[in-house]
Amino acid sequence: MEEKRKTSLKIENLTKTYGKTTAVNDLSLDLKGGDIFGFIGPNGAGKTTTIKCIAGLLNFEKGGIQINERDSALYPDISKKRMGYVPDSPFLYDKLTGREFLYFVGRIYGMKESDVEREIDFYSKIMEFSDYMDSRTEEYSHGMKQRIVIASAFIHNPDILLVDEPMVGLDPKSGKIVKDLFVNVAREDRILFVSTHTLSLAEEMCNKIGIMDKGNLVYFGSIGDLKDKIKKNNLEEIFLEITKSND
Amino acid sequence: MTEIIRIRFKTFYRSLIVSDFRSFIRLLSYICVMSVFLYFNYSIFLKIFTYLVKSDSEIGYSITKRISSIMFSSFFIMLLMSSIVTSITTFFRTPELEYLFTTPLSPKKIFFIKFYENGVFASWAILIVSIPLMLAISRTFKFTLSFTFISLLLFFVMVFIAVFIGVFASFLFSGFFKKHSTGKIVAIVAASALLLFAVIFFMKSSDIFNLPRDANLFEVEKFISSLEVEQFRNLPSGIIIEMMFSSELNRMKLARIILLALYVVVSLAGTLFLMKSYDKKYLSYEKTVKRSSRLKNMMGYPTVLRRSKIALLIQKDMLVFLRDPSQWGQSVTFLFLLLFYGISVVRSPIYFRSPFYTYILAFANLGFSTYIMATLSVRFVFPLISLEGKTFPLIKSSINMRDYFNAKLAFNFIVISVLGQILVVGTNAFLSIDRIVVLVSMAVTLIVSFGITVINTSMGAILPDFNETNPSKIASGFGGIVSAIASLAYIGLCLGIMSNPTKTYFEYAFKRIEFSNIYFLYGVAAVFVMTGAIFAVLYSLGLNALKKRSV
Repeated sequence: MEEKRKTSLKIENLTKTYGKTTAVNDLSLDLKGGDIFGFIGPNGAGKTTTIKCIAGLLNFEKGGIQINERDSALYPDISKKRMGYVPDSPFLYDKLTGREFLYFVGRIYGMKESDVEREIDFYSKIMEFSDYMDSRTEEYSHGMKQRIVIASAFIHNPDILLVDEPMVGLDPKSGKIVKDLFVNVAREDRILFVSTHTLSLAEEMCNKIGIMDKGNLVYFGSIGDLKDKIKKNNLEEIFLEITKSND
Repeated sequence: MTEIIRIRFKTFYRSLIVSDFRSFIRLLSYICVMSVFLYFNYSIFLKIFTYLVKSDSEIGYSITKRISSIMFSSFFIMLLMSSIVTSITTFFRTPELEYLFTTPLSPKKIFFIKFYENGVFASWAILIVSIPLMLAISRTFKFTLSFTFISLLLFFVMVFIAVFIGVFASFLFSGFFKKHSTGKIVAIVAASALLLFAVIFFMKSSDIFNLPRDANLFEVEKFISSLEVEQFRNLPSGIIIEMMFSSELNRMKLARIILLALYVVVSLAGTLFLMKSYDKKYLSYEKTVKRSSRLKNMMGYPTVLRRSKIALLIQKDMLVFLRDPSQWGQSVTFLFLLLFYGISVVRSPIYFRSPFYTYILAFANLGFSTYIMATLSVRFVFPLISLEGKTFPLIKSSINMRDYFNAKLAFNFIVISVLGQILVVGTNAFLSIDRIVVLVSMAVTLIVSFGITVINTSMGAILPDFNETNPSKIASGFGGIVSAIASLAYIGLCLGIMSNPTKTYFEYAFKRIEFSNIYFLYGVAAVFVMTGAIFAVLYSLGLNALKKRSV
């Protein structure tokens, strides 16, 4: 039986390069259970690379990542079990139905059949996909796929959720459902790590934000502190000012 | 892991389920084509082998073994090449792998599944060609059912070894592969394979059919001993074919069996090693394709072309084609194969140089060339309108659809007809055929090029798939299959029409009776009229489909 540890995500001096290009430069941050962290920055700033490093999809040159106080490089299997990942472009097996895909994911994470079925029922209700979850995913729209993929990341009750651009292609109703789910999840002492371009989402939902620009974390802290520091009230203006000053 | 295997079977099963008319037609045509292909392959091999063994058991046995050995060696090399190509796209950075690597599934299990998948992807096409060959050998020599079973088992041993070498090579060169796009890698592998093939082709003359009819005893003995020297006897394919032809195990040299066992053991050990190192290999495989240097704006160059929208459209098609390695890579492969075909015709064995065979060869060449033109059209012409994809609304809103359709037709016709003429006239010139046959071939090729272009361009307009970006998938989709069937039926009709005057011409030539060219004229006129009728119907259907298509 795996011992229950305090939910935490600690990144120390993470550096990732692609050839001569430094995608992430000496990034450090520390998150605890209950945090909703908004990771914002322009295209190509290094957000997705950082998320992929945390998810165990990329090697990195320097630094370390600790998941629940364990080094993810030393305990990759345990770390992956405690995480859920929603990529920027959703992946689904197109010949499977939504229900089958969720069942598959639950089993891959070692859940009992009865538990998987219970969780599928639960998420199908709160994310409102019961109507189409028994059709093949190749027939789904982008929003429908995104809901199933998000549910698949939650189904095994992970401590840390990595979500890359969750709102792209979602209609207002789907967006609201996803947002509510995120807020509820954070209440359960989990960490939500959300990379987004939707500044209003970050402003509304996140208690901490990180602004990335050209591979550097140029701000890490709460939105309130940032507003006090820059002396502006609108996150969009603050974001543009910070990223402009780094040009 | 069992969950993933279950998913594979479910996916395969569901891709077979007929859910609509289009899927039904596609499945039906696959089954028909496959059955015809398997049956004809089997009967051709069987006829050749039976003839050889019945004519002279010793020479026949040696030639049969030699042909089988050459075939199996080619299969092995093809398996190797396709394994390298498929393993690049199977083992590294696919959306599915990106997903599976975020789950707690062990990389060793992921490797195992991908290795199996790679074997299936790399070998299914070759298995389809091999089965008729193995059955034909079995039937010719009246081997038992267990022989067929053992042959199949040995074939899978060969597949395993080839797949291991392919995966090993792709792991070894992954550092190089990650710096280049998949299209470019495929083009490089294909070019290397063709180069290797060309070297073997030019260095080694075909000798297995080159025994003169009036050969003396010394020449016959020399010929038989030359058959026993096999170039690839130490490859797994060579050993396996030897095992298949040794009906009793004690006839087989122990050393050869040990060599095969060694191949298997090394492959197994190597596979385990690759399995262990897979996670490190995968994580270090990040695509670092260099950004291409700034390209000069080629649209509207030279300046005179800027005035014509049609010229701009053709230019755009050409630029997209030339900058997409998956497109030009396949065209280069096609061109190389055509070159080999042409040279093979010219270097045909001495038996076929007699006037009788030369004429047959000329007519067969016309049929084969038109068949190649149809295949090329389905692959490259049919997808052109679909490839406009999301930009089609832009084209429709800015260009008259008649001009657009005419431009596509004209450009495709020029390319296909030039290729056809080179193929037909070039090979006929080497065969020193009568001028009248060359002229008739040229005329028929020109008309057929037009007919095929009309069929494929119009079908491309009637049944486009604007959501698919891969031209190969567009060509193998519903519209592509309908277009292929229509093109082949058209060619069959044209050749059927032309076979009659051609047959009369050959008969008259042998009987030295004067032949009136009016017979050929009738044939060409009939082909012309039929093509005109097809043009009238399909042109208006295609144009209307474009005009009516809502965007």
